[in-house]
This record gives sequence, structure tokens and C-alpha cells, in this order.
Amino acid sequence: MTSRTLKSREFHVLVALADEPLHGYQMAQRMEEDSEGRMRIMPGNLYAILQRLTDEGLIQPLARSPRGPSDDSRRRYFELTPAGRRALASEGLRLERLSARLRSRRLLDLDGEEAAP
Amino acid sequence: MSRGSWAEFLFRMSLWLYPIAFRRAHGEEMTKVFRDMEQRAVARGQHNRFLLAALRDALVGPVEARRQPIYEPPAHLQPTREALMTTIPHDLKLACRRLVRNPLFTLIAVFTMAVGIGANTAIFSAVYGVLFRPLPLDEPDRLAALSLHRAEVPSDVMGFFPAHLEILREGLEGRGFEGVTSFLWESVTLEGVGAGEGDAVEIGTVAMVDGSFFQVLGAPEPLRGRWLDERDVVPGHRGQAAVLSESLWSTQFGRDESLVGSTVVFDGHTTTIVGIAPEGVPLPRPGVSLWMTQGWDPLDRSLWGRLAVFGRLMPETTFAQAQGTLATVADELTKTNRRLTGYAVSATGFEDGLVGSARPALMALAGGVALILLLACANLASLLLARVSRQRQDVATRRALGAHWRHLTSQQMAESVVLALLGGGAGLGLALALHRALTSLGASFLPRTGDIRLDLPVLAFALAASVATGLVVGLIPTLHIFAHDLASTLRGVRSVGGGHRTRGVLVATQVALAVALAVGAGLMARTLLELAAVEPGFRTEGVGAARVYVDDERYGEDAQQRLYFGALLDQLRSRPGVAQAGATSGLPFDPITIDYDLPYATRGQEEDGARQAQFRTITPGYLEAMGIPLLRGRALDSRDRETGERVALVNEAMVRIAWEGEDPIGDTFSIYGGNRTMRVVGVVGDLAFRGPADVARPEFYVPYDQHPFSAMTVVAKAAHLEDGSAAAAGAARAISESALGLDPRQPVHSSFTLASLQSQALDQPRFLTLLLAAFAAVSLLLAAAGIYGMLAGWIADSRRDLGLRLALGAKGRDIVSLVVRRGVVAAFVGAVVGLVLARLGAAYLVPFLFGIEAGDPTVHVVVALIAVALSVGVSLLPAVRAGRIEPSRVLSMD
Repeated sequence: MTSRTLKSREFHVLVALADEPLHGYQMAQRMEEDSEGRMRIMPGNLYAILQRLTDEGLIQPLARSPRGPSDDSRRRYFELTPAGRRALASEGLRLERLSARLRSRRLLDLDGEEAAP
Repeated sequence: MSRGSWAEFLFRMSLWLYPIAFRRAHGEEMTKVFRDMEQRAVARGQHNRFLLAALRDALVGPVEARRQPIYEPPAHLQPTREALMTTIPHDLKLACRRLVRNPLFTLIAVFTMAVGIGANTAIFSAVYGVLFRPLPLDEPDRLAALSLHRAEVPSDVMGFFPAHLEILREGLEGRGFEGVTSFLWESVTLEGVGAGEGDAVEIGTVAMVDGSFFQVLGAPEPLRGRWLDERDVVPGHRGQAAVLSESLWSTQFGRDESLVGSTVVFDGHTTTIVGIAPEGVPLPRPGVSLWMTQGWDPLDRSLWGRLAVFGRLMPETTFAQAQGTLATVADELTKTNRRLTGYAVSATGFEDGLVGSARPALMALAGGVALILLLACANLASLLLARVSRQRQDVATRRALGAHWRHLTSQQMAESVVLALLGGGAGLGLALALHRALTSLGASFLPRTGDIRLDLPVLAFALAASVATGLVVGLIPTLHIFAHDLASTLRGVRSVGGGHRTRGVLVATQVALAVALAVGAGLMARTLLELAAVEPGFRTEGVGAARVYVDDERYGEDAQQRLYFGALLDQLRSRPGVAQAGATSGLPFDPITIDYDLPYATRGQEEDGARQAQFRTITPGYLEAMGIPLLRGRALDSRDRETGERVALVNEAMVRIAWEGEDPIGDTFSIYGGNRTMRVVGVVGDLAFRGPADVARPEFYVPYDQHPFSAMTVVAKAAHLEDGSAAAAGAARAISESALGLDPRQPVHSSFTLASLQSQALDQPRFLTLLLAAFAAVSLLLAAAGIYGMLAGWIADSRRDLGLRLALGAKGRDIVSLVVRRGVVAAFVGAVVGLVLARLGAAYLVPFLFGIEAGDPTVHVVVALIAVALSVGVSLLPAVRAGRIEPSRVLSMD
């Protein structure tokens, strides 16, 4: 299922979920932090991506909040599935190979962000 | 931001753009995330930036949510923007080829769009020409029409008096107003030069103007010569000089170039022609034939209450500021004239005064045609959708092979734009026909009909409307392409879901729009019937009328006027074809009659201005000729001479108000501040005076001999009514002939039949009814075609399924009812929505309705029944064919 190239935003969603399950708003914040404020995502786009990644089996919603029943029941948390972790790793590797190539040609001084299409 | 900001509300609305399942799964949560983000953005002072991002999200999100990523080609296969642009001509060519290959489909689609765009173009030409085309005057927005009206009843308007003009000029000029001018409507007879030998030709719509008229209105350059100015005015005299309209110049003078500077005889006076006006200039409205100077004489009673006044505001003055100045002037006016107590002066925009009355009717029509365009769009979208679902396999294969979504989209769009453009082109033909109907049907009440033209702005509108509808219509099948589950299409799974549901919604939309229009047409048709059925209080059969305005110079004295009208009526009555004849100062239903409201006092009371009644002077025989019933007492007759006791007839409405229903006969009442007292000798029936929709107003009639008047309308009733309209026309002709026999230099001003007056009063409702009925008929037809197309498409896609049912024992009529039910359900839903729409839209029609409520249940129920009956009928055609499917053949085909 995951032979395709991940889109930049999708990759960023997966990266945001790498450490712990998050709900939508946390994901948006985490993505903004990870990209030093360059990746701002709005709800429409975000949930379209979440739906797509769920359909492809890369992420899945948690049945209940990891913070217990006191949390707002409308917040759904998402976590990476094993397939999602593999996709994340393979995309990471792909990016790393790309950056290595750039670095070997002295085209890259800092860590690049925008390598994905 | 607290919970539920306006942006959040809009965001919630935008959720409807997402697929249903998606919205159900994520909508609540998305709203919550949106709220958190908005709060943070506000806290950081980045709200505007957030709103922009939200706007983009509302456009991109719904597309993203429909996109199926597995088919996204990798970056190096993605076409560049340039590549996409270069395919447009190719797409257009392809679209044309496909349309040529399907002539029937193309014909139906083009016809649909032609109806939508054509109707809209025609109505747009009227709306633009009448309401928006710039007037050919200098800064027309600084022009104000001043009106004198009762302070608490702005519609109760009275004309100005010559004596007011001095006060207006002094009070206004230099105080917010650059200039003030006045004029009145008149008609004159043309003798000698232009007219044939010995003939006198009546010229209607003559504007008698003062010396500043053309300068204050900011007239454009005249066609020949110059405009009238102060040089041409001699105080107390009329007709020193005149300007002709281009059409009068052509019809009466054969465009004689030597006319300017020469003299012509109007009404027995020699008048110098100083210029020719170009056709259609609104001075003060289009259609004036002749402008003549007149120096107002304050003592000339025939001018009292007849002058119209315009003012030009100073460049920096607003209408609100002008209104303040007018209040002071109104005070001044009431101080000089007791009769004006309780009156105010207001300024309305010149253009508003010119065209304002037509705005509601045009807007109602614009609303109606907008519905037709929407309906045509829904119809075309539904047709295209049917095609797309038939090409689903093809499209799916191309997508699987990596065709970019933009390519597929642009092909779809190209096709619908080409169709809409073809439709727009064909629509221009329809617009031309409708344009003719509009200008001829609306001529009597639409101002500026000459400005309703199919020219560049209108063509631009048609083009823009075509392209816009093409794009909007193309969007629906395009979204459908991406909504479809590609994998199952490729595997050959025939899902009978998505496309048919969308088509069902489109068909229901068409029915809803058609029902809304039909309700509007139904309400107007009922109004027309109600208006035509009104008993106006007088009879029109066999009655002819003519306006006779006697010449001031030869008939200036009261005694001369008495003699003239007495002799005219005697001569008229002696004619064998005339049964009865009389004259009045105010004829009901006559649009150019002057409303003459006078304050009165009953015995023991003071005039307070709150109670007013319409004053009319009539000769004996008038009530009989008009069939106005005498209910009590006696009619006016030869006893009521100049020297006899002053008497009057009152109508029932006046009895109700002034005598609270008690018998007034023998009692007295007074007018003119108690200066004239009259004894009531009879009670007559009420009239709907201003038209069939008017309510009965208090009226009193005084004998002509006791109150002579120079401008009268003579009526004659034919002796033989069996001749129908010819009898009335004959009676009208009899008046003209009698007048010419009596004094060839005093012809009648215009003659007509009362039946034509009554018919004219229905012009506007008839215009609206005819157009709305035509729109409703066309839209019901389109909606019916939509239902048929939807069902035929569904049957084609479901042949296997239907065949299977038949094979398993279903009867033909089960299939028939299955199909019919589909059509009726869509129609029923559409009809319900349409009724709601009609209820909301009826507000636009309320000003035109008469004798019927906007929510009239009969009209609504009948229209809904028609819609559902039509849907059953049109569903039966494909249903019966579906019921005859032969299972063995269908099942063996796959």
C-alpha cells in the first residue's frame, strides 16, 4: 500500500505522531514547531490527510483518550500503526539518502526540510 | 474569541462542502480544532492571517477530502503549469468533436442553456437599460424632484402653485441648491405649417417649462439649434418659443432643416422653434414631444396645484442636508397658504423618481429569470453527469494510467463551457424575441423603454453569464469523477449510488425552482383575475371619453366656459348614436387626472386638514353616462344654476366618515376655510378612483355651473351597446366631431374609450403575469425533461438488476411502480422545497398582489399537485418501457 511517495504534509503528520498519540490540535501545533513555524495546517486539510492516512492503514484513531475519561470526549487521538512506522522510516531513509547526495555535492550546509514533493 | 465566532459559523457552513461521511466522521472535531486555532491566532495578534488561511482551507479541504492518493503520480510525472495551459485549446477541440458526435445530446443541452441565458439576457437588458444605464444628463445624481405632500402620508402628493416658486427660489438657491425649475404637462394643437391643410393635430406630452429648465436639468447638446432659456419667457404668456422632439420633427415636418428659427402655430399662437431635441432624452422623462416656455401667472387658477419642481443640488450638498433646507421652506409655504397646513416638501433623487416605480417589477422578474438560469444549470449538470457515469470506465482507466486530475477536469470543464457558450449564442436569439415583447408589453408603464437595447454591456453580460455557468456546471461532474471509488469501477463493480443520488438532488432542485416560479405566476394570475373582477363603481360598456381643455384666451371667463360646455353637451346629446353625455373634472382610472383633495368641515366643526375629500365638478348627465348609481336624494340637474343654492352630491365613503353613516341629505358642509358652504342633495356610490386596486375615497361632486373649470373630460354613452367596443369608439368620435362642429379652433385633446382605460390599468399586472407564466411553463418543461433524463439514465444503468427482478418473478407493473416512485419522490421533495422557496420569494411579489395573500393555500396546493402530476406523467414513459424489459435478453448480454 505504501509504495507511493508520501506528500510533505502527510510525512509531517506521521513525524508528529512518532513520539506519542496526539489529537488534531496538538498535531497542528507539533507540525508548526517541528517546521519552525513554516508548516501551518488548517482543519480541512488536516482531517482530509488524517482520513487518507487512516484509509491506508498508516495511522489509527484510539478508542479512548490516553489521558483518561476527564479529557474532552470530542478529541480523538491518533497513533501510528506498524505500517505507518515502516512508511515513516522508509520516507526518512529516502530523505536521508537525498540529503547525503546533496551534502556530497556540497549543496547542503544545513539540514534540509523541503526535500519531499 | 468566545465560543461561536462568526468565522467559526462560516467554517461550520463550509463543512457542507465535504462528503457526507467525512463530515459525519470529523466535522465536530474539526470545528473544535478550528476554535482552538482561532483562539491562539487571536492571542498572537494574527487573526487576519488566520482568516486568510481559513478561507484557503475552505476551498482546498473539500477537494483534498475527495482525493484518492494512490493515483497521485510521482513528482516527475506531474505536468507543469505550462503544460496544463497548453492543453486548453486541445481540450476545447476535443470537446467540440465530442459534441458533434452526439448531436441529440448537444441539441438538448444547447437548448436548455439558451433558455436560461436568453431569458436572463433579455431581463438584464431591461434592468440595465431602465435602472442602471447612465442618464444622458449632466451629473444626474445631483438632481432632485421636489414634492409637496401631506406630512404623514408621503404618497398623498399635490402639485405646486405658481406662487410657491418665488418662495422655493428664495429659500433654496444658494442654500444647498444651485437652481430650481418647474414645468407642467400639457397638450396642444398644431395648426397650419406642419399639419395638413386646415387640420389641427393634437400633440400630447408637451412640457410647459420655465426659463431655467434645461440648464437646471443639465441637458446634453441639442440635435439642432439651442435649448430654451430665460430670453424665451414672457411673464403671464405661454408658447413664445419651443423645442421639438426629433420624432415630432420627423413626423410633422419631414425633418425640415429650415424649421429652426421659423415659426409654427400652436393653439392659435405663433411660436418660434429654437431647437430640436435628440430622441430619448429624459427631460424630464423620455417621450416628450414638445417643450414650450410659459411664464407662470400666480393668479392663473388653471395652474394651481399642477406644477412639478426639480432642483439641482450644489456639488457638496447631500440629500439629507437638502431635506433640512426644505423643511424651512415648507414652513414658509404653509405660512402663506392655510390650505397647506400639515404639508411637507421632500426631495427624491431624479433618477429614482424617473424609474423607481419600475424597480420592484424588474427586480421580481430578475429574480424569476435567475431561478430559470439555476434550473437550466441543474438540468445541464444532470445531463453531463449522466454522460460522465457512462464514461466512468474510460475515465477510471485513464486515471489509473496516470492521467493528471487537472487534465480530466479541464476536459470536463471545456465541454460544459463550450455548451454554455453555444447556448448563450442561441440564447441571444431568444433574448431578441423577448426583448421585443418586453418593450411592447411594458411600454405603457416601463420608463426609458428606448434605453432597453441589446448592446455591448448586455452582450458582455451574456458572455460572462455563459462562461460562468459553464464553469459552475462543469464542476459537478468533475467532483463526481473524484468522488468515485476508482478501484471498484476498474473491477467492473456497477455501483448504482453516487451519480444517481446527485442526479436525484439536481432533479429535485429543478422541480423546486420550477414550483417556486409557478407559485409566483399563480399568485399573479389570481391577482389579474381579482383586479379584472373588481366592480369599479362605474360602467365602461359603450362609454367614450375625450379631454377638452378650453383655450384660455377665448374661454378664459367662467361664463364663456359654462356656455361652451353647455353647448357641446347639447350638441352631443342631440346625436342619434349618443344616449347620455356629461363632463367631469376628474375621470376615474385616468392616469393623467389631477387628484384634488380638499379639507372640508361638516356643520359646527372647523377644517383641520385631517379630513379631506376628493373634489369634482360635474355636469348633469355625467353620473348617468358613467352608470354611477344615485343611492339617495336627487341627482344634479338644470335647477343647479350659478345663482341657485350651492349644492353637492357626496359618496358613501364620505357619508361614513363625515356623517358617521347618518343620512346627510339636507345637511351642509364647507370648504375653503368655511368660505363656501354646500347643501347635500344626494348620495352616490363609491368609486375605485385611481385604478381597480384603489380603495374607496371620500368624494363630493358639485354642479359645473356653480364651479366652472377649463380642463374637463367629456364622456358619452352610446345608444346601441350591442356593437361592443365599436360603440364606445363611436361615442368617443362623436365627442370630437361635436367639438369640431362647435368651434374648429377648439379641438379635443385626446379621445379614448373607458374600456381601454380599464385595460391599461391592468397593464403592469398583465405584463408580470404573462412573463412569470411563460417562465414557469418553460421551467416546468425543463424540470419534466430533467425527471425523464434521470429515470432513463437510471434504467439504463440498472437494466441487469431490473432484468434479474423480472426473472425472479417480479411483475412488469412492479417495475413500473419502482421507476415511477423514484421520479415522484424526487418531484415531491423538490415541490416541498419549492413551496418553501416560493414563500420566501413571495416578498418580492407582495407589492403587486391584490385580493390574494402571498401565502394563498389554493395556489400553493394547486402548483404542488401540478408538479407531482407532471412528474407521474413523465415518469410513466420510461417506466412502462422498463416494465417491458425481457429478462432473458438483458441477462445474456453481460
